[in-house]
This record gives sequence, structure tokens and C-alpha cells, in this order.
Amino acid sequence: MLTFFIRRIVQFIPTVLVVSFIIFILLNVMPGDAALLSGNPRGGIDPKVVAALRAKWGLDDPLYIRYFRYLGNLAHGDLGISFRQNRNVSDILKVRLPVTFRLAGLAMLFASIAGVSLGFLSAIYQGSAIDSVAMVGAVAGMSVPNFWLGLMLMYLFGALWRVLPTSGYGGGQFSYMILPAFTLGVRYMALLARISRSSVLEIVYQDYIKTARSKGLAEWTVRYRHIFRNALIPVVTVIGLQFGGMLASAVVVETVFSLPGIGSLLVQSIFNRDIPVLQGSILVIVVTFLIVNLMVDLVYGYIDPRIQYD
Amino acid sequence: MELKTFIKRNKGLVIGGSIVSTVIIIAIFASLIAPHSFRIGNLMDSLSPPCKKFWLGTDQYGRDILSRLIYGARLSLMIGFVAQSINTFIGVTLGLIAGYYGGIVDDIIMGITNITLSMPVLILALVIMALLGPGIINLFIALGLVNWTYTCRIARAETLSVRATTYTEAAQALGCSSFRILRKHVLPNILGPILVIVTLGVADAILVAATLSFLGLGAQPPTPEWGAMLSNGRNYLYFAPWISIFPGVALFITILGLNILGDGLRDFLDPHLKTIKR
Repeated sequence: MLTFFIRRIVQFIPTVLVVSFIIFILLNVMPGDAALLSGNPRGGIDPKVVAALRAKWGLDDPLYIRYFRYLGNLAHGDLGISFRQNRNVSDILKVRLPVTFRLAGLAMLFASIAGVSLGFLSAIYQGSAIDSVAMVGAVAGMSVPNFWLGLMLMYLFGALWRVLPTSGYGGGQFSYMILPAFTLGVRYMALLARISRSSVLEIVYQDYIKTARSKGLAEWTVRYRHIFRNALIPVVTVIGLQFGGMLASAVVVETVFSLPGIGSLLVQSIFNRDIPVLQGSILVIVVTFLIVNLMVDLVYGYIDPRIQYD
Repeated sequence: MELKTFIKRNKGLVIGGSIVSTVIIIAIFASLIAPHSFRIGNLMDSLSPPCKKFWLGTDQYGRDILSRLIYGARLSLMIGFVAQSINTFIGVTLGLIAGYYGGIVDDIIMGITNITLSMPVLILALVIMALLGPGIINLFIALGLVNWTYTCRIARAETLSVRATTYTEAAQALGCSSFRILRKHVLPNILGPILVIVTLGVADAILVAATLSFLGLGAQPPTPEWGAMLSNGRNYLYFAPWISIFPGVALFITILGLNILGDGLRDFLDPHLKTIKR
């Protein structure tokens, strides 16, 4: 198992390097000039200022020099200076990141509790009305575009019923996170409901469940100790794997609800051609995605002792 | 099997197929079905709520929402199918090569696949769209380049199992070229699972395209793309919600239909899953 751990961690480093290289190349050949964009859109900008800005930001250097400089800075935790805000990208991300993590965390909490409960209920009462409603709901949940759901919730809760705030972070008040977290979590709730259901159904027909029942165990014990706990193994893995994807989906939800997280920052920086901020935010999302996947791989053996790594 | 029994046993296939067929028919006959022009509106009719003349209301330029939705179906389906065709072509070709040749070829292809998989689809699509700039053609390219990895993995896994069969060995023994074996013996036998992933991939492509358009990076106004229409309706959400409601409903129904069809196909092609579903 130790060999597997070391191999997985060693694989992680080149993956991050390759990914950072791809992101750097794609973003730095992007059309548009951040220096020109810094000027007044009506009055234009003095060519001398543009030249000075390009020199200051190192945009005149060849791409490979810029990449090695970027890599060197990255090794020191320096993500560069924002073209638009003239601040350290790391400082900007430090403020934005907790908002996104809070959003994704709340969304995942909601998705896990609601999704797993629905899936288990659905499987236990297989073929019943509960099962049909839950599974139709799950397919619907998988198909609903989150930006549309967000807008509809804003309309219902903000304009029609006026019961919940619909825009902004409100200094971190919980009420501001309810609609965004629900919007972000619905798709994952549906996915988890489906996976939990099929996971339980894979197990309920196993011989050891028949044995547990035939030796006279209480139905509750069979369900909890033999079905629920074993069925949770693939579900926990999916929860872990989906967390990274959730950070990417947060881009849309944060834009809809005007949340000051890393996702809305990413979209703004595309339009501003603020390459250091764009690079930094994408790198943070992708590296978090990779770390979460790595952690899922590493803890999988602990959750399921049947897994053999070698 | 009687039609009645088939429908009873394959509800997903029938329901999903019916929804998707309806959307396809609407898209094909858009010019005959649409009651008004999707491009030109009358400012006198701007922000009109749903009424007899405009069943789903109008937008801020007085354009009929229903007509724009009908033409939007054409665009959304086109984006979904073109992007998914590119994905399928890349994924199946690489999967076949990796699975059939193995060794270093397999290592290289799977390395590229794993690197691509390590970046969330939406983020990669955002980066490519930022690089290429907004527009429908760029949307095809961006979506075609980001979602081939699952198809590749499945095609590879299926090819590995087909490669081990005796009929592939027989074809090799008879001196068939690798290209012929891949085309005539491997490809037709891996099409089932590929078909399922392609159907689900079309839904994904439509959703990601609409998301990009909503963020302002995909189709641009006045193109009647559903995501762009929704984005346009955001500013009028509180006093003309119909501009945002109906494009979302259209998007939801289409994606729902494709997802149900994909699930139905999977159940139809995989008897094991059917036993579990019961």
C-alpha cells in the first residue's frame, strides 16, 4: 500500500506541472492586450503608457522566458501581480477562496444528506411510489441547468415571496448562501441519489444479506449494518470526486448570485484580460480538483479493506 | 417482441426518444412552425407578457420568445450533435488505437487522456473560449475538444476485450491489416456502450454550450441560442420573467429527454443493469 501511496504522490507532481504549462500556454497566446485595455475606453491610451505597461508586466519577453519566470515565481508561492487591480494575485485569491469553499462545502453537505437519503429510501422501497418519484426527481435534477434554476429561485424567493436575499455575500451571513448552495447542490444531489440507489440494489441481492436475514437479525440491523455501510463505499468516493467538479460549477452559480468567490473572479478576469488572476484562479481550481482526487484514491483503501493496491 | 411489450419494457427509451424526436422535428421545421420572425421585433410590443398574439411573450426588442425558442432548438441541437461528433471521432479513434496497439502508444494516449481529465470540462471550455473568442464556430471547436476523454476510456476498455476474442485472432491469422480489423471487427462490436455515452454527451454539450453563452463567452446576441436568451433575460427578471423562464424550460426538457434516452439505451443494451433496476 505504501508503494501505491508514493507512486500516486509522485505522479501528482508532473501532472500539476503539465497542467500549469497547458494553462500558461493557452492563456498567454489568448488574443487581446491587457495593456491596451487599461486605458480609458473612450479616450484611448497613450502609446508610451502601453509600452511602459507591457515592459512592466513582461509581456514583451518571449513566451518561454515568461513561462520559466512564472514557474520560478510559482515555486515561491508567487502568482504574480494583477494587471487590473495592481495587487498580488495570492492576496486576491486569499479573500475569494473561502467564499467558494464555503459555497461548495454547503452545497456538498446538502447534496450528500439529501441525495444519499433519497437513494437509500428509493432502493429500500424499490418499485413503490417513493422510488418512482425520487428517481424521476433525480433525472430532472441531473438535467436542470443550474444558472436557470438559480434565476428562477431568485425570482421566486427574492421578487415574489421576498423571503431570502438573492444577491451578494452579505458579509458571510448564512441566509445569503442558502439559494446559491441549493442551486449548486441539486445536480450532485440527483447524481448521489442515483448512485446510492444502485449501490444499495447491488448489495440487497447478495448472499450475505440473505444469510443475515435468515439468521433472524432485525430488519433495522440488516439495513444499517449490512446494507447501508457497504453501499456507502462507492458513494463516499463519488462525493469526493464530485467536490472538485463542484468548484468548477461554482463559476456559474457565483456569477448568477454575484458572490465574490473565485468563480466570478475567473469570469471577470477573462473579460478584463487579467492573465495573472485568470491563471491563478484556474490553477487553484485545477490543483484543488487534483488534490481531492488524490485524497479519494488514498483513503479508498481505508474505507474498503477489500481493495488491493499492488 | 410486440410493440406494447417493447414499450412497457423500455419506457426510458420510448419516453426519451419521443422527447428528443419532438425537439428534432421542431428544429427541422422551425421556419414552418415559428409564428413570427425570430430576428425582427416591433418595439411597440416590447416586454409583452404571454398573450394570444405572443404565446410566450416578447423580449425587450419586441421579438417573439416562442419563435426564438423554436429557432434556438435548431442551434442547440446542432451545437450538441456537432460537438459530440468531434468528441466521438477523437475519443473513439484514440481509444481504438490505445486499446488495440497497447504498449507505449497506449501509455502516451492514456497519459494525454488523464491530463485532460484532470481539468474540469467547464474550466477547460472556458479557457478555450477565452482563447478563441465568442461565436458559434468556436463553441463547436471548444466543446469538441473538451469532452472526448470518457469516450476514449470506454472505447479503449471495450477494444481491449474485443482484441482478446478468437474472431480478432482469426482475422489477424488470415493476414487482415490492423486498419481493417479495427474497422470491420472491433468498431462494430464496441458501438453499444459508445452509443450510450454519445447520447449523454450530446446533453452535456448542449448544457455546457448554454452555460458558456450565459456567461457571455458562447453565442452572442441576437443569435437565438437558449443560454444567450437566458442571459439576456437576467436584467428583466423581476418585471419580465418570461424572457428567462421559457428558454430554461426548453433547455431543461431537451436535456431531460437526452438523459432519459441515454439511460434507456443503457438499460436496453446492458441486461445486468436491467436486473438491478427491476
